Amino acid sequence: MGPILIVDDEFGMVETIRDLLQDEGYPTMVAFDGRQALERMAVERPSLVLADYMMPLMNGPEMLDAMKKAPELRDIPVVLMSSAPPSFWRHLPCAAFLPKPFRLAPLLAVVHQIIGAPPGR
Amino acid sequence: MTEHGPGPHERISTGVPGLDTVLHGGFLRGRTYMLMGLPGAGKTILANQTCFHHIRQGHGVLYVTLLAESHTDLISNLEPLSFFDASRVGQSATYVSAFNVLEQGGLDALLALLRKEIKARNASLLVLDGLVAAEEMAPSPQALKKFIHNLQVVTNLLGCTTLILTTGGGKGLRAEHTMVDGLIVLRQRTLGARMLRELDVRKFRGSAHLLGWHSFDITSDGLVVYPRLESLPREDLAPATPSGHTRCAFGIAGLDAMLHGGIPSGSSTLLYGPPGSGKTLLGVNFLAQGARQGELGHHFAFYDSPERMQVQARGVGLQLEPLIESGELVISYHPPLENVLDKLGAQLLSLVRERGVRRLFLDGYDGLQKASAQRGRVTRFLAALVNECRQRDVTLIYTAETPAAFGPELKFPLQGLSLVAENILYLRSVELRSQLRRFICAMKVRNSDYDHSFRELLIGEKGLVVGEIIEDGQQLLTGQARVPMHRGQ
Repeated sequence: MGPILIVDDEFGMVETIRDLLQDEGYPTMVAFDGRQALERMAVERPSLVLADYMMPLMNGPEMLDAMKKAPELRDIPVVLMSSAPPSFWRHLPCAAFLPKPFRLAPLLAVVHQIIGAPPGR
Repeated sequence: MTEHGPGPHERISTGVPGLDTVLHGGFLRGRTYMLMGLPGAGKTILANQTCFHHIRQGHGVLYVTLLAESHTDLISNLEPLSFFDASRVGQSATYVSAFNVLEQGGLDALLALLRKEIKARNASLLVLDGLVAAEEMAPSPQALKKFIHNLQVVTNLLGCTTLILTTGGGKGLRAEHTMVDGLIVLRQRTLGARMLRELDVRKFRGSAHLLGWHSFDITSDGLVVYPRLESLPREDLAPATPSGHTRCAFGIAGLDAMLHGGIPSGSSTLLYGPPGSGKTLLGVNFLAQGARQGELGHHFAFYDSPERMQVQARGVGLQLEPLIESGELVISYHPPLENVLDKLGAQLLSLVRERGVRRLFLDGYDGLQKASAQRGRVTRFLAALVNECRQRDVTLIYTAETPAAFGPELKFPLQGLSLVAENILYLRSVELRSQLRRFICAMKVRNSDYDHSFRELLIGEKGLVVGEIIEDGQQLLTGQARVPMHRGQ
């Protein structure tokens, strides 16, 4: 299983989600904007991308668009996390949406639903 | 997938009487609050009281200390307090010392410990006691800020409400104090030889709260907070019986005739006069008259104990005992020693809002003044009480003493009188023809006609009598009455 890529411009969110997913046994990697996320994906293919909607340099929808245009990234499932109203992102080709603020349980449920249990469990 | 995030307004009740009122229902779930105050201010008791209340609601609590103080000491200090339940410790209340983890692994290790323990204990309330140790261990102020930020994010994701206890370093507000979702400052203040405990909610994100300093006590049941009476939200009730609809008689024929049947219900009346002029007896007569008609009366006394009051009443032929026994008349005694104004306020509000009192006699204004730490506050306090009484159609009478028994000076003890006294009955003793005579006059009765004369007030074994107009006196108000000079004399 490839790592879960967590993309958010808030370092606290990134670090916390990373730590919580690592506690569960999932491998992770992080990025702080969409452009950095594409760079990470070019190095290692993630099994899932958890991405914030609003970010500097390249936001969530722009990153998603770029991924859809790249044949090698097109199939990677993306979960958008946002505090914006669902009407902003409901139309986007995502695997799931997580309205912010969310708690750990729905986050783990979404991850488990898309990529299954962590390796070794 | 969830369409909606966790309810932003889910509340965690504190279980501290009065504090939920100040916080409009309690802490918000998953948010981080800082309790700041010097040692002895009551932070640890407040936090533990909230913990045990949370446990009684069926939730788990994690209490993490960062100081070298042993849990045995902490727990033995809590044992005498009624909220503490030793059988929960180690079960739904987990006490953990993070001192070693912090010392050896720094803030990152502390954060990891908190994250893992919250999950392992299924805790929805975390207390981090002794932030000062983390401050000392932080390599830079930036690192401490980052720790608090990350702690906020993780506890929010875990839905775990967090209370961080800190002395605040005594240097005012620092960056980390403003980062949290709420800041509650506890302080002790000396006023002469007295010590007052007060609490201020400096900040509370996502919700309104009652502003200002609210008094509190630490009792064997833990903290009891008395929200400032003036800051309490008005409960806009339409009274069942509109205020002023009926007349409330004193049961003193002459006086009731002067007032065309009595004072309007739901109104506030000041009995103003020197000591010994009959204010207390008038108030008690008023309550007794109501009680005889089945209206619950309450004598809120600062100077007379219930026993002394009964003796005094017997002296004028007024038997209070049957009314007290039947429960129609209640006397509560609040010696004016170290009262806290808002504690009195809470008791008065409870009488008006919960106990079904119809006639309230507050004896007197000076008792409130002595309980107040600020001089100008009592009028505002009284205004809030008057308003509450008006809304509930409770008829309020209170007394105030004139500064002097005799002499031309007439000064009201309170500013903004019209705000707090819809009716004023003025009592005075005068010297007339080598006699000391008492008189009463209605200075003001709002929205009502009344007899403007100065009438004699006679206090005798058979009771109070309001009699004839003192025709032969002039300048009665000055207390130095004159008899008109006639030609030829």
